[in-house]
Amino acid sequence: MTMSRLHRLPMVAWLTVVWVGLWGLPSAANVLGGLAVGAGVVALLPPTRVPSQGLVRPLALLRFLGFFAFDLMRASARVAGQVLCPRHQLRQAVVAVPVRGASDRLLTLLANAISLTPGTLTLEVDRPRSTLYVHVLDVGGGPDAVEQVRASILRVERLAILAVGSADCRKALLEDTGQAGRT
Amino acid sequence: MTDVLSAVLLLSGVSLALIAGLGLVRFPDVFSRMHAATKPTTLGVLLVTVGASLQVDSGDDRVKLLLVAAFQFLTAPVAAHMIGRAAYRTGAGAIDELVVDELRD
Repeated sequence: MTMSRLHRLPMVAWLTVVWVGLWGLPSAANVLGGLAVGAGVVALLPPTRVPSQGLVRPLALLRFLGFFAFDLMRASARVAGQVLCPRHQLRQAVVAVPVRGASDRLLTLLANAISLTPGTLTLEVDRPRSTLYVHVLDVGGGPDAVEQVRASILRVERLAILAVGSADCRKALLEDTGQAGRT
Repeated sequence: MTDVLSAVLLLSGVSLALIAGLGLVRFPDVFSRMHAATKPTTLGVLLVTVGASLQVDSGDDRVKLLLVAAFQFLTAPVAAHMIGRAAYRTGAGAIDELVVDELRD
């Protein structure tokens, strides 16, 4: 295996773990079989090389996941209510959410978190302008309804930046909110 | 005690799946149906796998349930994103019904 292919090793390891998990027992045959299948998959479908994007902050990531779990339950209940109450008129909207800092890892984490949360769905990702376009099932009434939705998505964005954003991005965010007061 | 807890988890998960099915029928267009079909199910699958993992005896069955939940969380948003994007681009999603559309501008 040449140097240029060394970055594929973690992928082979991950595929082996999944393979062994699916078969159940970490026996020698399962591990060897997993290594063979993993190497075969990686050889046939070479994964894209992702440049290193800085460290993940474990504590901040836990906070992000905790908030996400809470959001998931709250939003599930709300969508369930909308399903069970069909007379309610839905006010659907597509909202642009500008994301500070454009690392691919941050955008991916954020776009997936938004899509997993009931009531919001990432429609388009504009990478050059670092903007997510989010479809919202029901923005509710009121003149600043859209702004409220945007603000609630930006709260998730803030936690995501603290967890996986680059050091520069995190610093800019902290200075930004330091001036505007803690939100 | 474990039985009660896992029964509660399984039944709530199943109810969410039922609500997702109802939403699919009741909601009027592609986007709202995507919300109904993909989202409550994610939490539903999670609750069912946790409830089931309390009932199985062997550790490797728990690992399999963990993989089920992990792949649900990895694949559901990607599928929802692709279908939503395709619906928007082809105009299949009722774009006229949007109250606000900041993507068109």
